[in-house]
Amino acid sequence: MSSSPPLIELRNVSKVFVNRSLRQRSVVYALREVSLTIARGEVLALVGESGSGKSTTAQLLARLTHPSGGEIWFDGRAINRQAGARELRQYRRRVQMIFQDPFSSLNAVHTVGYHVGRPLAIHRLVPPGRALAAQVETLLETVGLHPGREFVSKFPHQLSGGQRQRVGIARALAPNPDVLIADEPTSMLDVSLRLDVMNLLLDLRTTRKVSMLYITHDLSGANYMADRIAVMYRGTIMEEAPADVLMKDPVHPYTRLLLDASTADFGNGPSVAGPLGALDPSSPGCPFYPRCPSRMPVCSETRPVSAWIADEAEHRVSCHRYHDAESPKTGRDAQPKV
Amino acid sequence: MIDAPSASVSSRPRRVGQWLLVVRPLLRNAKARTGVAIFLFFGLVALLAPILSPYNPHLTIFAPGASPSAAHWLGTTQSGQDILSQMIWGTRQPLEIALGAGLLTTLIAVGIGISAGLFGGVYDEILMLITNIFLILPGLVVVIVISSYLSSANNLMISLVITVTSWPWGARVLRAQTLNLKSKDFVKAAIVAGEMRFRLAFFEVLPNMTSLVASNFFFTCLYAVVTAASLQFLGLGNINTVSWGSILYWANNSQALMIGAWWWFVPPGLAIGLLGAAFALINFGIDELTNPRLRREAK
Repeated sequence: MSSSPPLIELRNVSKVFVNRSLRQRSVVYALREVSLTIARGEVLALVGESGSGKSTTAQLLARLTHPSGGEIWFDGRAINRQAGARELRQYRRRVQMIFQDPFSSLNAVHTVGYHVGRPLAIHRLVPPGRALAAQVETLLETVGLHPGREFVSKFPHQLSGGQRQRVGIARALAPNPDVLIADEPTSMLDVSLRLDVMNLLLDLRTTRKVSMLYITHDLSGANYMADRIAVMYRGTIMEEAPADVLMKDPVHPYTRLLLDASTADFGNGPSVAGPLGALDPSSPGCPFYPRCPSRMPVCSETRPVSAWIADEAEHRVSCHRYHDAESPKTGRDAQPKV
Repeated sequence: MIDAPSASVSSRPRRVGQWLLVVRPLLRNAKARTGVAIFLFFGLVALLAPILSPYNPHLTIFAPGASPSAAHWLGTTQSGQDILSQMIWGTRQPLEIALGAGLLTTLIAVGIGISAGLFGGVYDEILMLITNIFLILPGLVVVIVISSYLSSANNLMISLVITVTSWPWGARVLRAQTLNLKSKDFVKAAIVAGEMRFRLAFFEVLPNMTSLVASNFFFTCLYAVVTAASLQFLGLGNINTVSWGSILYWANNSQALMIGAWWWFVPPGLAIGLLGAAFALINFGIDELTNPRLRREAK
């Protein structure tokens, strides 16, 4: 997959939120020099706990917010913050997003048909009238709402959570995008419905050849969905590898903890050492240092550099334990992080 | 032209459904129903004034200062006018001013509130600065000062004067609600879908605050009724037009209270109070509908 140029590429993207109050000015680093790529037709899962910057990454890619530093490349071109209306509209057609909360992502005053029909109308993909109505019904049936005709005039409050999320997916599919950003699309659904929605997304991926950024906090879900998994902690990519490699042979202490936690029985699983206190943004060390079970003195002093693991293609880790032992490969699309 | 397809997909069931969705529960609410009934009563009286009114309200040919009788149900004025006819014709002005001011105020409040909240930044700061300046103007004083310069103010002018001092409240409330709605995923989803600013404001955000807009409208109507009556009572505006306020002005001028001519000042006072109460009751009804904590338990 690394042979063809990536469809989406994040190059050292940072996002800083500044809170100004009368007394003080506090800075929160949501993302810190994040580099990621998604190839055509590839599913990349972004895994991390709450507040790790997953959703910020999604919002940046959906152009709902702008990066504070770094560049986002899409299809060979850097995204321009002062993009013209035409270019932005083109981007909106090609990159779509599925939201986490199916209850707040649909407007209560609009029908299902309106939600799914609007992208078609905005991008003038289908002539107005009967053709558009037919296309809306087809889309609804594509996402498993049969028969589509019956759902068109329904309002969101008449649907279940799972049905609403399907409407959200149909809306995202309407402009026939190249990239789907799925921001924890199953986390607000009943457990029994999650697998259905995940399978639906996998089906769409094979039938429509769409690339996907699948954001989740669940490592096994990520493994089910994705070709590659990137593990994020406090705005930094800790480890990135093909899904099977990462699940079988994780090297970063944080990934191991996540994996142990997801496979351990309740009660006797390993706990993450150390408190989850506010991280001092000026701290020079590794962001995981306060909780790391295998920390070393150097970890509190310098930030580890993201580097490829020798002998393993596509496996990247940001940990001092692996830097000292193995020399980082350079010249690949992963820039060393400062 | 882009609107046509979506309309054909969804508009008919939606329009009808939504209209019923708003109006039916409102009429099921006792307070709102009472308010609507009073309002409709005055509306009918105003419309049918030429039919209902027994005499020309300007005629001064009757016995002056007469107490209520079969010929003059509400008696006559000191200059011999029929008070019932004046009351009936006088319904028109307060209604016109109330609805006019309510409409103008709501339009300005919606336009400024939603755009400031939605677009933010410098635009928001400038608009809110202007809003705050108008907000601290003492309402009635400004209205009195402006209208004393307008010698022959018609209803539209009075509506405008009232609007000048009443729009900032609504603008601030609607801006706050817009800020709240803006953070909701459905607005973000609409942006991702490619919606333009105008559609975001009027098709995504505005329909979600119809109750706020409606209550802003009715509150302004209430304020306008009282303010217009106050102006007329003070002799500002045109005292030669027939309205509840000008009846009160002439009653006061002729010492109706001193001579005990209660039929002269009680009916207009009562009417002003009732119309104001009608708007307030509709507002309470909307409030109860949209705020479940205020809703009474169903028996």
